[in-house]
Amino acid sequence: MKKIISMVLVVLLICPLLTACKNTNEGEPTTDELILRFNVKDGICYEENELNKAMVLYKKKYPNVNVIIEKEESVGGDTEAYYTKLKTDLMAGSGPDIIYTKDWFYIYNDLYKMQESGAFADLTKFIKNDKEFQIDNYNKTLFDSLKYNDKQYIIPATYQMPFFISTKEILKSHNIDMTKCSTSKKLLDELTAYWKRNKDVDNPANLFQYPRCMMFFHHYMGLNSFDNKNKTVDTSQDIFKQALDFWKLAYPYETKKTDVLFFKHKSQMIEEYFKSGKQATGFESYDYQGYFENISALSMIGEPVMTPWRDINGNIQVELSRGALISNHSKNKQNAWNFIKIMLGEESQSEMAFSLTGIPVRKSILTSLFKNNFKEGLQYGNVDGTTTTAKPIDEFYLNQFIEFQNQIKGAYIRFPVDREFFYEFIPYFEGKKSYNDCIKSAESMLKIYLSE
Amino acid sequence: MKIRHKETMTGILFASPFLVGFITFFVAPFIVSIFYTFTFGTGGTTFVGLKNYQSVINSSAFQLASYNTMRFILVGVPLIMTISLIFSLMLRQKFGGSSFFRSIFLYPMVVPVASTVMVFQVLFAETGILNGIYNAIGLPVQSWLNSDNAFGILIFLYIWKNCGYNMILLLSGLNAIPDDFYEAAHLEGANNWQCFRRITMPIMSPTFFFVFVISIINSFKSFREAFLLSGTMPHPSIYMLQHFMNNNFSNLNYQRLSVAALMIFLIIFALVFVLFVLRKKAGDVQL
Repeated sequence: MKKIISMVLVVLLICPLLTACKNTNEGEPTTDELILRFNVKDGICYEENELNKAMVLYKKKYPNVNVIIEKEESVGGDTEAYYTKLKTDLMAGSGPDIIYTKDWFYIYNDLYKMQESGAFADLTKFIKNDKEFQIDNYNKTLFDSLKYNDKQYIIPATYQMPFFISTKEILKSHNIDMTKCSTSKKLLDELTAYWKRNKDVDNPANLFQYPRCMMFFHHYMGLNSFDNKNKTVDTSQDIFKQALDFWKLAYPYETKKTDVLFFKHKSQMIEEYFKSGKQATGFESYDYQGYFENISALSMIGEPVMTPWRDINGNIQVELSRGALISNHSKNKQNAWNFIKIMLGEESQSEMAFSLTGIPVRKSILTSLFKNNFKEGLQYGNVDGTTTTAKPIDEFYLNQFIEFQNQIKGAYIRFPVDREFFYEFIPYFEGKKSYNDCIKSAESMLKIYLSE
Repeated sequence: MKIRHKETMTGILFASPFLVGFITFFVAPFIVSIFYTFTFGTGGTTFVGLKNYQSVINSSAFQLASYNTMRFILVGVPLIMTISLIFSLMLRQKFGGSSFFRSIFLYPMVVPVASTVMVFQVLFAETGILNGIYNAIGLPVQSWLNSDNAFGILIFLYIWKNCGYNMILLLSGLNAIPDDFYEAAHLEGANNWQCFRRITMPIMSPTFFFVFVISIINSFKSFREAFLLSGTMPHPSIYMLQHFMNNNFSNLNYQRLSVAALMIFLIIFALVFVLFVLRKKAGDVQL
């Protein structure tokens, strides 16, 4: 009897083992389904709004595919809980077919490590074998930069570019010459000189809106301070120290003003902050709509100047904003790939350009979008209820913008640890710790992080 | 024979709800996670042999986490057992207010972890109470939670939280020892230390064993406090195995997580097994 009971127990133990053995067939359209999952935050489903056009077009082209949209509410605005559930479902072999990534995604998730874990499907052969998909329509540099171990897991949909914005007149009044800033070093030299001149001035104009964007400086500069692919840490470059010394100089002043200015789309605020002398420049990672809207707003107070933060070699590094991954266990990989192609199509990309998502990766539409949307001057409401119409944006700015896109040499993805990395240096900025101590602490933290 | 068979079946029947639950929620997932340690990809799609073990053992994060966890156990467990034994020996003496003190020592256990951590953050933050005192008396402010001091704080938190529980367990073991033994020993000329070594320790060995195991288990639970104090990437001195597992879960790397979990299991199993063997060799004292 004991032997029988023991054997039954062994069988019971082996059964779950057998159920864990899965076999997936890649590339075969196995079902007529496509599962998408979106986060609802504060009652708004941003992802659904951004992909609305793509979903409409997909349903039109593939009427036989049942598109299932799962919506998960972030209770109390807790986005982290949403991603925890998503990851739990992915590990359990369920969850959506497509994982649509946006800025919140990168705050809570390390995309490189997730790619390393085998959670996502390798889309290289989809790109290679699909005759409908023409890589030349897109900014190929972005695709190549985002490969992991020569495999394309994430497909970029939009990206953002780091710019200083101001007017020629304001820059001249503050003695800042952005034309000199052709590399990161020269930019830092120019900005350091500004703060050295102004540190004793009463209420000097700021260059940034602390801490927005400051913590990603090593990405803008194209430094591989921590290389998630190769698991290395390198903070030995002179320019790294120069950047930190600049932040140390600027820190007491840039942190004084506590109101965070969003220069992307609150164009009326530009006039208020620049005209009042609170800001000499604004710095932000820009999307398509915000970029031109700010030019339009700046044109009301002077001649707009848009200066990208160039990397150490004088090129431009951009930040991945929206992207799409296909779950490795998905049974609907072909359906998911078809959706991604539609997401990268002209109509969907055009809509995404005006959904505050970023600059569309489909470079062929950048000019037509401008001509269709910024031909007339934009209108701004005044406090007294009247309306001001800005003059139309000069085509010079479009040509300049297109030229900037051609100067893109790489794309980066934010790390969850970017913030912690930057905060390791705050004691140095505040004079509480030496540079070497902060570097040691930061490197120690990063080495653990990378080797996890 | 028939009666014994019937009794056996009855016993199994009564135990079956527990057995089914235990197998379903503990044993089966454990076996599945062992399987995952030999695979790659979500859902365990590709067999990779010992590659995950190699990768985890070679990972400096895992090595640091293992070192810190072992260090925490080797420092924290003997400390908590010594302190709780001292308190229990003191409280065994009948004095005014001893029952009040017994209750007081249990309060840290019932306080929610989040509340405790909040208090510790207020105490040990850069602009916290302790640094305020330091500043007032002219001492330089310390980075308590973001320095090697974090380890000491975590040990203190672990002892503060769990000492009362251990003390109650040891006290119940002490109270089970008849006073006659001590009286007889004193009459024979034994001093307090000899009484402790020759009477208390041998009789208390089953209780010590139990408290030791509980203390080791509670030492692993200190991850909660470390996580709430310092997040997913704490100071290297308090980076534990659970941080390693938690972060790998966040990165969808269930395989590495499973390897680490299996290693923790093997370490605890080995520790408890050695203790069990030692205890069996020493034998229990029958009262």
